[in-house]
Amino acid sequence: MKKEIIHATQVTKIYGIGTSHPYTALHDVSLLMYEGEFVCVMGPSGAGKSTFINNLSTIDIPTKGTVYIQGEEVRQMSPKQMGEFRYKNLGFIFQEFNLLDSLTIFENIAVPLTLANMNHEEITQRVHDVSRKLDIEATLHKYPSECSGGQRQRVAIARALVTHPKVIVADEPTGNLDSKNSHEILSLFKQLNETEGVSILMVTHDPKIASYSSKLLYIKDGMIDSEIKREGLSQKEYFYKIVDLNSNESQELFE
Amino acid sequence: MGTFKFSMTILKKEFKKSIIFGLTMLFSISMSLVFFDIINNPHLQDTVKANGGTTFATMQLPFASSLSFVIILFCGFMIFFANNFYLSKKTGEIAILSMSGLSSFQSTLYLIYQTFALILIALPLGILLGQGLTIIMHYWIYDYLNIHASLFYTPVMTYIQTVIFVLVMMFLLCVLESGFIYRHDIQSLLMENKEMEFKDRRIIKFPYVVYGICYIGGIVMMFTEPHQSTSYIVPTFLGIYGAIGLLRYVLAKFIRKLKEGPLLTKKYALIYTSNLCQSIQQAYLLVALLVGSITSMMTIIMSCRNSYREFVVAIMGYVVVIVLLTVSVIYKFLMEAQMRKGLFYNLWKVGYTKCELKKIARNEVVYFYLSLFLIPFVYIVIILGRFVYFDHISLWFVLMMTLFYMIPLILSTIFTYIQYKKSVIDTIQGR
Repeated sequence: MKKEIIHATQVTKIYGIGTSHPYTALHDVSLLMYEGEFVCVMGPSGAGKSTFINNLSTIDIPTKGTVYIQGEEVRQMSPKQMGEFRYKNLGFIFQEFNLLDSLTIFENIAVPLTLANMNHEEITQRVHDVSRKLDIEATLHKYPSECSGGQRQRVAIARALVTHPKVIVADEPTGNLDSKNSHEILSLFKQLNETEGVSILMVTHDPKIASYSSKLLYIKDGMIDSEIKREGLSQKEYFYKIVDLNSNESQELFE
Repeated sequence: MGTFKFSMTILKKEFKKSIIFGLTMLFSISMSLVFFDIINNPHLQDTVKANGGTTFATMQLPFASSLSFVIILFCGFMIFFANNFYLSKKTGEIAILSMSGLSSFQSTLYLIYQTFALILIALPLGILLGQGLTIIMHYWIYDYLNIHASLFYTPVMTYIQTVIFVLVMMFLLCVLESGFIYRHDIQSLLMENKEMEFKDRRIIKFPYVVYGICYIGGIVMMFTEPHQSTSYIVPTFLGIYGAIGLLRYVLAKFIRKLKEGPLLTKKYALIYTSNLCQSIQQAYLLVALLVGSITSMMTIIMSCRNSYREFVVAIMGYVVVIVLLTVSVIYKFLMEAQMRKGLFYNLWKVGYTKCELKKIARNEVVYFYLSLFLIPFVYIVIILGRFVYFDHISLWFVLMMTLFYMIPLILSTIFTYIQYKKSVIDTIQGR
């Protein structure tokens, strides 16, 4: 039986409550995500994609609705529990890499392990293991500013993976990368998803990147507009379906 | 919208960026008025009258007046320093203006209009504050020197010279700002704010041990030189050179070694030591200035201890120098802190709670100011200790001198922490 990993029910997010211009970024959105799923979120700019994944992953708290991650309700957690939950269960990857400039690459990767109170040997071992896997061992003693964009994103991924999280949350992880690096990183995501059973929730603009997923949610005006499942389709067929969905959206512009 | 109108609109909208620069100007102007009063006030004039001469050797200047002049120059220097920080905050803004089609000349005008506007606000307020401080100073100094004169009398020349000082500063700031615009292209302006990495730009790269030898050498020299006020200046500057070298080039390596070892498992220390190291390296010039000025002023005070008038002026100078420098340190630290918004937000995303982030920020600020306190402290203790030993000054006086130095630093620590927390932690949305 498939195990639920994220269960969001009727999530609504309103910004600027109490001001003269409150703005509803998400309207009653629900999602049931199972362990080992690779869900991709697409949609036009300003549709609420980032708000959606932020609200589903403890980065933001919904105004209404409930979010369960691994059976725990996010809104019931204290700040301390939430922090602990974050570094133990979730791995975040963002377009801007979000590395800590004053720490070396090694230290950047080690941060979640330090937070988890691991001992020195285990930290060193894990950082070396994950950096070997991502081919960034040579950069471990450099600072983020001394690395290329591709290397920095690999470091961000290494930091997200080093605690062996159950879910990876990625917001436009390839947004700042060239196509070669983008596909290398997506192949890695796919491998993690298929061989290690890591669940992935990812936002992207690019249909090619989205074609690596197993399910696609199309968000428009803060609501889930459509959903496509890959199921038995080849990556190419799935890609065409995604392109169709996006071009239907573009067609509306001319009607 | 013309350049003038646009620069005023931005100045109003982004007033927060200019507050510390404005305050530095205000305080510097008020202090210049106080010290110009010391130079011009007939009741405070030295018994040794100023005499001209055909050569420098035959020229005589009362020491209190020369010291006051040095303090005024120092005030001007601090305005430059603050302006420099102010400009580095505006790089993004100027880059956008250049991209929008403003010529270098127009960009220079844009900056000059804003600086002039700030000076126009700071000048009357500074004179007003200076006048208030002058009355307090008269009350204190007249009482101390047994002078019977009106507390409210300030020579007209004092105001004229203060205004001239401000006009000269305005001219020099124009030169500085136009130079800044002409030196930078759009790319370098955009990169200026993002460059956090420390680069070793030494032309001659001495081995690190040289800095250690200089620092210890300075201390040793203090004991080997004959006991005279002036004999502490050279050892102090040698020590400062060593201390700065250790801070800039050795500290980073030392902390890095610690982070590879015991600090790797410390969730607070791993972060705040890295930030602390960066802050010290970015503010090394101010640290050097603080250490150099405090120890120099200390030796000047000691050398004037037998002349009441000069002694009082020297103590006032000491306090002014410390206050101006601590304001600059706060300015510099908070400027660097602005660049750490992303860092703290990322730490929060990784799993640090806001409470833990506050602890990191607190440790960072406390250790930064503690190092500012401790670096010159060794020298201050030795200099004052020697004077106590040779029975020139009381322990009570030593305590007062140390408190004058400690209190502004303690207040700065609290203020810096509150502002730092406000800008990097309180802005994080979410729990």
